[in-house]
Amino acid sequence: MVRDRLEHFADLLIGYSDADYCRVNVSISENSLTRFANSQIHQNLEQEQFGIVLELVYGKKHGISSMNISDEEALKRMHDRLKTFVLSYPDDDTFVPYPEGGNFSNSSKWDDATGESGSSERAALVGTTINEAKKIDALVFGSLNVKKSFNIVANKYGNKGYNQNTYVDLQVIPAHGDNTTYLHQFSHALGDINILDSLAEPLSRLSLYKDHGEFPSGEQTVILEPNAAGDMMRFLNYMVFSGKAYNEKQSYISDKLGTQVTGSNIFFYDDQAHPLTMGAPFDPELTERKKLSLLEGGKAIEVAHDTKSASIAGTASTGHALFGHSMPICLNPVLQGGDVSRDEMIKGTENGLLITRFNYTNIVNRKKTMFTGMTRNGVYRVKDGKILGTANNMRFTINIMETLKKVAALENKQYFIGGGWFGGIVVPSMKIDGFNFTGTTAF
Amino acid sequence: MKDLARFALDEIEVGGASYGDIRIVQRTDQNMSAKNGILESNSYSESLGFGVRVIVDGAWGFASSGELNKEKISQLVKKAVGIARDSARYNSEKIKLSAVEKVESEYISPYLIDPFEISEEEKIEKLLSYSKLQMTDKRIIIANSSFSFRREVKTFASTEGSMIKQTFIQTGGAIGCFAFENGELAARSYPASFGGDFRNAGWEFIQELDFEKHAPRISEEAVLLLSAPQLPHGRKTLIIGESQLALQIHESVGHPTELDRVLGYERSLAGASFVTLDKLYHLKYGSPIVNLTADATVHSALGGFQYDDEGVPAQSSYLVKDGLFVGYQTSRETAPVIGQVSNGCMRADGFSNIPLVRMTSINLLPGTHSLDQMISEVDDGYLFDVNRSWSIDDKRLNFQFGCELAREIKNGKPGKIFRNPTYTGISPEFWGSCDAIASKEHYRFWGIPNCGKGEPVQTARVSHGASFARFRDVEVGVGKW
Repeated sequence: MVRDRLEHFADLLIGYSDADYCRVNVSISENSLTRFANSQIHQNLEQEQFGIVLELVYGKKHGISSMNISDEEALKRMHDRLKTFVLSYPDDDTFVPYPEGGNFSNSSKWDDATGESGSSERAALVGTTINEAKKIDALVFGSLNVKKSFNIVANKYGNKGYNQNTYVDLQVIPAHGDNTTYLHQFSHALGDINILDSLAEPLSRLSLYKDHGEFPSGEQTVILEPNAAGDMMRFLNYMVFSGKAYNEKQSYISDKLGTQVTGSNIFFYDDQAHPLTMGAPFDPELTERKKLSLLEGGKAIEVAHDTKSASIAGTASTGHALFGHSMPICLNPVLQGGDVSRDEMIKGTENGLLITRFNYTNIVNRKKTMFTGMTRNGVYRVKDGKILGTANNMRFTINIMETLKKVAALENKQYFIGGGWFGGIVVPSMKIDGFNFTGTTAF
Repeated sequence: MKDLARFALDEIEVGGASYGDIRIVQRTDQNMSAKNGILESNSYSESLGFGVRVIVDGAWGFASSGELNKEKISQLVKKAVGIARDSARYNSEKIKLSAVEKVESEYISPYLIDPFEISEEEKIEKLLSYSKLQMTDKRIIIANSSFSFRREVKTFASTEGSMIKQTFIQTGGAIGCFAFENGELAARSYPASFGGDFRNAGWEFIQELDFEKHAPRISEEAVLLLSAPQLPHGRKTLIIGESQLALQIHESVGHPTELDRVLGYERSLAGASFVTLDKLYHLKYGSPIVNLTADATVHSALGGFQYDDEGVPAQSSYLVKDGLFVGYQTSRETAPVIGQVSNGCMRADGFSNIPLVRMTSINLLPGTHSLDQMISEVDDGYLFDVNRSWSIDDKRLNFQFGCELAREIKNGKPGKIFRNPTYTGISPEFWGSCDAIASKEHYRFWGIPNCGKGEPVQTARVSHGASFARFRDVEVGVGKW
């Protein structure tokens, strides 16, 4: 049993320690990835990974060490060296003792067939993708990632949290020359991926190519499909809702809790229990992840805290610590959906753009939630309720909070968008009036 | 390690691969940070493991593990061979590798003082003092300092007979502060933002960075930025400071000239490139004074080494010569597509990842101007300093950068400062507007420790030779603030 092996290493390290507090995170993962380009498999790999992270606390002195070596002699050496170093450190007068935490049993999203799959199953799914695209003379580019991971957190108080997951991430870019579309699917089970059904829309969109050229800069009505909406909301989560950023005046909502900061139709949560999310219900301090109401009808309500940031803010931890990082963060953000379908959004648009996804998005100014990026893999001109064809990719530079005051509609369906920093996000499509474009490009 | 490597090569040959290699990598990292005079974190990490790469039936297979012993090597060689056979089912274009001389070599990157031999007490005392030195004003609410040290030992062996052991000692450091007043937040960093500057060097690099001198300066500038005006929108002459220019080179020259991107291998994630094969020897990439090289032979630069992760020797080659696009960064697999042999740009992050075409040192060669002369020739423009934000499209054409500070230049003289400066452009048009590059007195190598690429995402350590450079008619002040 993998769990027994993880517990063995955790117990071993905790047994070595005479520290006032110690905690251990042990993980094992097998990551398999098949990449394809120009409708050929060009990279194909499997990685076995073992990792152990140890934190020791003596009074107000604390430090962390990690390694990937699993023999007991090396682990003892790691512990002894870390103890020597920590005892030589100055006191950290800002240190806040960790809680005892609770016990959490297996919280897995696990599929046996996925866990047992190999390069042959991946090749078969990729081969189906290649052959389907070939029927319309399209090339495909993409990757199929299958991962199984096992993780345990244990502390000196005898508390433990364990979870194991399988995870599948399929990404496909069908292409006719510069004209590209996009498919991104996530599940914990390989069998959930119905590639023939999923590919139908991205492949059909290749035929929309009519080259509507450059669309003018300035404020436009846009419909952000889930990958684009998820990108924007993921950055908003990172910029705004960490208790550390809040305490350090770096967040837009520092000193604004309880005030209206977006349109009243925005409801944004962190919810580990949402059926579409894939995270563990506990954090590395072994505190249960509380459901957070981040934006409630556009009012800023809560931020994510670990023990330290909560202490500074005069509140309790919400169970959003990261191991080894003094930066609490929401790992399961959810944007509530609305009451219209995506088709209805398009039909109700007189003049605007339907956007598949963004590329290379980044923060321009965190405090002001200024955000930039490019569109990618399909920008479609919408006129009088119909998709006319593609336009060139465009650059946007927006203030996200101001933009969220202009949300005209939210789709009545939500999607899990994985990948990226700090896990996935659940979002609907969003229709926004006044999305600010600042440039274009040549394709 | 060499015995295990030879064992792996034997297993690869038994497995029926037409080519194979193994990399065994041992890495130790120490990352330290202080905030407001208090040690915030000090973490050590150690890793050891191997990755085997094979070609079977003309296709690649790769497997890696942190469990380094003969049994595991034998098991993973078999796994890699099986993966390659599955790859071959959908790979009609069989892999051909460009030729390389077999070599046996040992190498240690240059350093004077091993940072892992410096006592914890001394490192912490310096780290805390550099943080405290920025706390010169009550409006400075955060004063950070950080050090990073790495020791990496890589053993590479291939079925073509190469056996190469390379040891790297790398050091980085940074300071940075935030000032806050009336809801406004301003940041300044030295010598660069996002982790600072890195080099193939030891503790002497921390000493060379002279944080004592720069800490009071950046905190004073952060406070001044609080009351500085927002940079207005317009088209202006722009002088770009060295560390920002390094990132400009990175995004708009380094990535688009990676041949694997050009061939579509990275199109699913990082994207493709506007520098398609038809552009070679035809595209005007920049003005005639623009000369850019890929140079791994400067061993103190973070992108320097002796051999890449395919055993190809470090080289220096032109990407852009007198403004004309003349070369790509290549690997043994990609170079034959353009009728060339690899120029040694193939590297992997740690033991567990496959090698990819990666930047080495991508450099804008120095020009003839002094900085004073560059400024004196500007009637109406700005000098932008230290990166704060970056973004570029998936073919590397439309870019936008933000910096920490802009200094106005009027009638050849520096003037007041502006906050939140941004600029945007199209890569070849932008480089075509370059009309002055500072001389070698201003030229140095900037280390970037966190270049992301590939799936699973790998982090490469690369560098850029850069001084100051001047560009005409650039759009600045992007977006509604």
